[in-house]
Amino acid sequence: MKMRMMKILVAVVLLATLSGVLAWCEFYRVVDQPASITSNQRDNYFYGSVSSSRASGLPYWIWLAMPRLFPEYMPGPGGYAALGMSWEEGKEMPAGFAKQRIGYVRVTGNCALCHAISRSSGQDRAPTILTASKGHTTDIRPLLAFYTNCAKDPRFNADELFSEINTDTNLSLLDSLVYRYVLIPRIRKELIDDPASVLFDPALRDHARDPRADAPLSDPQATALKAWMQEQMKSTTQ
Amino acid sequence: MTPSLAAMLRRLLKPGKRTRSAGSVEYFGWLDLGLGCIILIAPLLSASLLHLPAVSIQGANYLRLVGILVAALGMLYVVSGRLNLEGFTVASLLDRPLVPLIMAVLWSMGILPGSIAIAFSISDFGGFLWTAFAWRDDLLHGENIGGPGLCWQSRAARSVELFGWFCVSAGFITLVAPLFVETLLNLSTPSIPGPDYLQLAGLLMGGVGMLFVVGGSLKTDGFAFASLLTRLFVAIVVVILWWKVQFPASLTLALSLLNVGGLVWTLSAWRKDALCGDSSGQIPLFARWTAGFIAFVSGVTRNARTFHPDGRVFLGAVRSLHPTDASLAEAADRLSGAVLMRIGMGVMKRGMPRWLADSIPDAPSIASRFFTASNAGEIRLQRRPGEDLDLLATAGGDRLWKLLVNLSTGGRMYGLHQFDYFQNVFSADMPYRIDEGKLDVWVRLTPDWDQNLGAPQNGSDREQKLTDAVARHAVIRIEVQRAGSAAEPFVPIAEIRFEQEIEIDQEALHFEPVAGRGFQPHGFLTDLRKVVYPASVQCRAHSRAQRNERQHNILERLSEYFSEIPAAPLEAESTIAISPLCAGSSQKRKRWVSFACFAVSAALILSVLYLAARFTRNLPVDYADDAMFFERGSTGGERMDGIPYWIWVTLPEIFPEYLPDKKSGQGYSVFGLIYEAGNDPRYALPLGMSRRNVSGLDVVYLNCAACHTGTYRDAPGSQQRWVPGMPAHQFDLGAWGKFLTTIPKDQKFTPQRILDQIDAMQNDPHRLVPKPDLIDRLIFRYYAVYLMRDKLLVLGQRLSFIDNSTWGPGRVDTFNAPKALLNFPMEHADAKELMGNCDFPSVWNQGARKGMHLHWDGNNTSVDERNLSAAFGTGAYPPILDTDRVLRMAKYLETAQPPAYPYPIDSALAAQGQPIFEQYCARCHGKPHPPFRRQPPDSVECSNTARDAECVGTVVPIDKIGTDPSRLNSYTWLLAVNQSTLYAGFEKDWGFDAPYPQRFHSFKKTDGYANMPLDGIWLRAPYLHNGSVPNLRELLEPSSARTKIFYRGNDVFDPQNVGFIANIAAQGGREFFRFDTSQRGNGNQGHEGTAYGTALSANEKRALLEYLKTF
Repeated sequence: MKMRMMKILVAVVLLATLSGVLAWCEFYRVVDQPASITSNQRDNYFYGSVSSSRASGLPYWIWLAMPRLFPEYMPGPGGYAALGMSWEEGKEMPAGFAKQRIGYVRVTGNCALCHAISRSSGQDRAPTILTASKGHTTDIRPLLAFYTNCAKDPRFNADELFSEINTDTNLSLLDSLVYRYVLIPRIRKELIDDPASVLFDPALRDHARDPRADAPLSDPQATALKAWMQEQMKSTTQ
Repeated sequence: MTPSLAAMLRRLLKPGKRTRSAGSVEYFGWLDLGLGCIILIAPLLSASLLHLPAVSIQGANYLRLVGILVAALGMLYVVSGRLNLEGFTVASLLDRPLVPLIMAVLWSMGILPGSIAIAFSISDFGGFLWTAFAWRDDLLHGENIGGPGLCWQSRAARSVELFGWFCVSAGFITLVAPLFVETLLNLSTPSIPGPDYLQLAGLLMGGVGMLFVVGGSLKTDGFAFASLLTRLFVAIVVVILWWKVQFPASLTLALSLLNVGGLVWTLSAWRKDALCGDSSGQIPLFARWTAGFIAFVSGVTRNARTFHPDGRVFLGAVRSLHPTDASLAEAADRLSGAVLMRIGMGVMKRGMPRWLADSIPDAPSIASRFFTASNAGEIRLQRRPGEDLDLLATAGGDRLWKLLVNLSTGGRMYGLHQFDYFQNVFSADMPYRIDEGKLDVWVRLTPDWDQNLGAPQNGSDREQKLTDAVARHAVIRIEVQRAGSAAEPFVPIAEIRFEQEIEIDQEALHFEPVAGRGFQPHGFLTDLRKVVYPASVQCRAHSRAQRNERQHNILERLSEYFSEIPAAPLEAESTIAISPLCAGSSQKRKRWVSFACFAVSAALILSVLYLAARFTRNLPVDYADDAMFFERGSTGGERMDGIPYWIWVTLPEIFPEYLPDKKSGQGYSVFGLIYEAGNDPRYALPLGMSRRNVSGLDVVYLNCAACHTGTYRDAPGSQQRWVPGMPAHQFDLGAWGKFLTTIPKDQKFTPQRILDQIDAMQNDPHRLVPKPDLIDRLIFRYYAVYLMRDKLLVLGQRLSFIDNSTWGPGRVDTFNAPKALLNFPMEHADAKELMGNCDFPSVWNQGARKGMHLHWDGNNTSVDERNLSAAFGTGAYPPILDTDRVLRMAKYLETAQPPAYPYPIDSALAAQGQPIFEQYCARCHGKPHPPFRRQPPDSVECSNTARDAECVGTVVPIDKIGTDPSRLNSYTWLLAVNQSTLYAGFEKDWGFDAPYPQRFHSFKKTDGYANMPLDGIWLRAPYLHNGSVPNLRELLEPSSARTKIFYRGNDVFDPQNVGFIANIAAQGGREFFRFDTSQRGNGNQGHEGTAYGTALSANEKRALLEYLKTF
């Protein structure tokens, strides 16, 4: 009797620990972005995550699937590039999006989402991406409106999203359960309520609403990026 | 004894005398029921009455759900009130005061609008006050004394309690995770932000659950009946809603299953109660958990008693004071004898945090055991059941709730004196029944207080005064009051005289406050004590030594806690009467039931194992020879796009009218797919089709060779020869695709028609796979055909912007297909990118092409990416790519060689052609055989202007080469950047460690067409990227001299002009594709002028042509 109860106790403790660890891995484990992004300031500016970990972020596979699943809310062919985002050839995502694993792989917005411009050398030619020049801010309202439209669409559900995601990757059982029962319903609600709060952490969002709110720039990493950006602006305007 | 349903129904219709509180419950129930019905019938009206924000369709349904639950609550109240269920009244008193609290929280979190929160709070709290005052009235009239007892549950009651716990959990989950529940039930969430009535429904469900729990736990004969009616009501209403107003089906199913299931469960339990006696011998889970909790606190966290802990122990003598009332006098006589008293503090503070201990006042208490001593000075450590009476009394309040309130507010009420035992009145807090159960009384102990002895002000003075009092044999009076009215006087019936203080092992002394010496405590708390006390005793140390030993070893205390068998409750009904009917039937059935169970479970396990093995099967057909593997091996794409073999073979037979020649019996050969000589095309697979067993089903689909294995022959009707790696100039992919995407629209595309055809074909000895078995047929009938139809229709819709009838054999619109894959909204696309028809290329010598600009416009420099990009066309999407097999094909292609020119070559003439080639062609087209150049190009366009520069594999700008621009324009930078997301997740940076595949990153928009090496050029007709020049001879002519209209698809070789016969419209029953160079994308201009050799003399051209045959 004694042994049996002890065994049950041990099993319960093990199970609790295991599920705790799993939950931590699935939702909270922070993995730094790869060195290919963080090692140079340019990529850091365009693709690095800026203290955005406090924004919930778009789960990567939802981010990827949305333009493919909802072309009716796109102004034309080209995925995110059709929404006016600056996208370099060979890069996984347009400038301004940062991909990072915090529990699950998620996509958040960074400075470059608003402060990047693309210059094309001619029609039908891929553009070059530069930091924004003075006074320039990219209009991200089409992007936010796109997200809201997607989320409001009845097809924004796990079955439909998985029909797309399953052509791109093989989610593990655990990941697909987390996507189906946690991330997709949650992100849907958040996107309907306020897509900006999904992409940006509160400080960045305040800055986007009122550019004089420089709260995000108190962060040392952001300060360094700002300095780098101003340097770039100088060299491009000259 | 369990009453019958009919008896209950009669009682419901003609209620007998009821208590006031039960009446209030009933009226409140009618109110709720009416309210619920209004919400149910007119959710939008109720919403507007409450000034709720806009309600969507789903929101209205959630409001209806709220209505159902409100009505269900109302119904429970009505039935219980009418049946005079005391226990339910208690349950409702526990339930309703919680509502305002929870509503306030929900309101403050913005989950519910204020109007709803206020409405619910007012109605529920008002109802609570109403019932509470009615209850007080009842008490004053001598009813409901002590409340209803806990029951030793009947099966029906237990089912109700368990059902209640289930509802509580479900309600809680809905409250905290409404999105999860919505997803689980597949409900569409409202797409406008707003209050979430689902959470309100969850709250109500929890409330109903709580009523069920309490109702099932208490001695409330008839609550099970009320629960039956309510569940029936909910199930019926839900179904009606689903039928009439599109209530979500999943919610209907869940609620009706839950309620009908619960109903059936309780009904069968009820029946068994009636049949087998109405005790299941179970105690309510709620009581068991309470006991477990208290036992944990006492046994594990504190290692000490929680109530009536250590104190000083005294012996005393009891004598009757001979009250005048006869029944009291008899009770007093029964008490006479010896008494063992432990006097100390009522609540054990040891182990509490200091701040908590300091804030709780001491509550002096007396635990006493009345017994008849067999010899003087006997110490009765163990209670003798039925004979001894244990009475626990505490100062500070005559009811438990008063005591609790008093202690938690500083102990200033009810005459509590912390530091003096003798100024206090000690109340037993439980009602007792005396005089053979005829009289309810409250009992208290009043010490004889001598004012002159002073009032001690601290703990040690208090103890000193007690010592003094024992020394002078002080007296404590036992007083009783008739229950029912506070005005009744307390009558002293007996007195206790202190004899002496004694020393004993206190851990061995347990008081058990149950019936004895004619005193029967009763009511809810008493019953709960009966469960809690023995459990607590069992988990604590049994002696002082043991307690000390466990003191610093929490692990041992824990293990003791978990190893103790739960104690039987005091005074539990020890045996459960099993009627012969129950016993007999269960025994007789036993043997064959267990055999049947074994057989069924064995069969189940075996079939599950078989199905698991079958449905996880993933077996491609392999070939030892590399070339053969390239022609028929699998890329993995069958798992995405595969067509079951048995459906594949039936389609041309069922739908010949959609075949170009409208003839059945030829398989797919009319599209130019290659069947080996001697094979029956109805059953054999053509080259370029791979086969794989996926989930037990043999499926087939195109592989690389479909487009990259071509045929030629010497003359019409002669032996057809096929060459792996050669462009499949004879295969009309567009027509084949059109066939497949058109037939699902035909009404014959039904499981029945296809199965009939399979029946007609399955016994043919030429079949490649076994006949479909039962499971296969079930899959065909109920799944595969429909799935295939859906997939083909979606595919056809996505590809609809591509006009595949303009392709003709040997051509494809390469880069509009990925736009369809990425689901670009092509209706908004620039018209110039909508056509990109081009020839299938040859795929030999890929090793020598590494680093060159590949594809006609040179948009990628990676052979791997180019391969994987093409593999999408075979259905090989990233998750299902068969990496090993695709790599094997890629490796084969690295060194695959074109066959040598099989017809005579004039070598002298060819030798004359070589310098011409080197002068005009070699700069751009490189060497005839690999390596075509020394090292891979380092820029997109050839920057080196030297005559002998190596420019093969670079891009020539469109304005220079001048060929048809459609293919170039069809590839856009917007596509290029989006292709960079393909194979996302397959990156080393993100933890994918294999070198292959990797995320695409080499696609780039270019401004022209790439220079190709010319290996095997004799087999690559028609020429130019769009196949607009029928043969090599014409390519050396200016475009004005090139044929305007010719025919593609004929594989008879033309050694004269180096190409295929292109001037014949039909041959051997097959019509060829009329190629009009004036149509869009088909322009045959460009690649002309002196630099391109079109100005050479006729002899020079002949020599060059002869030399090109040697490539």
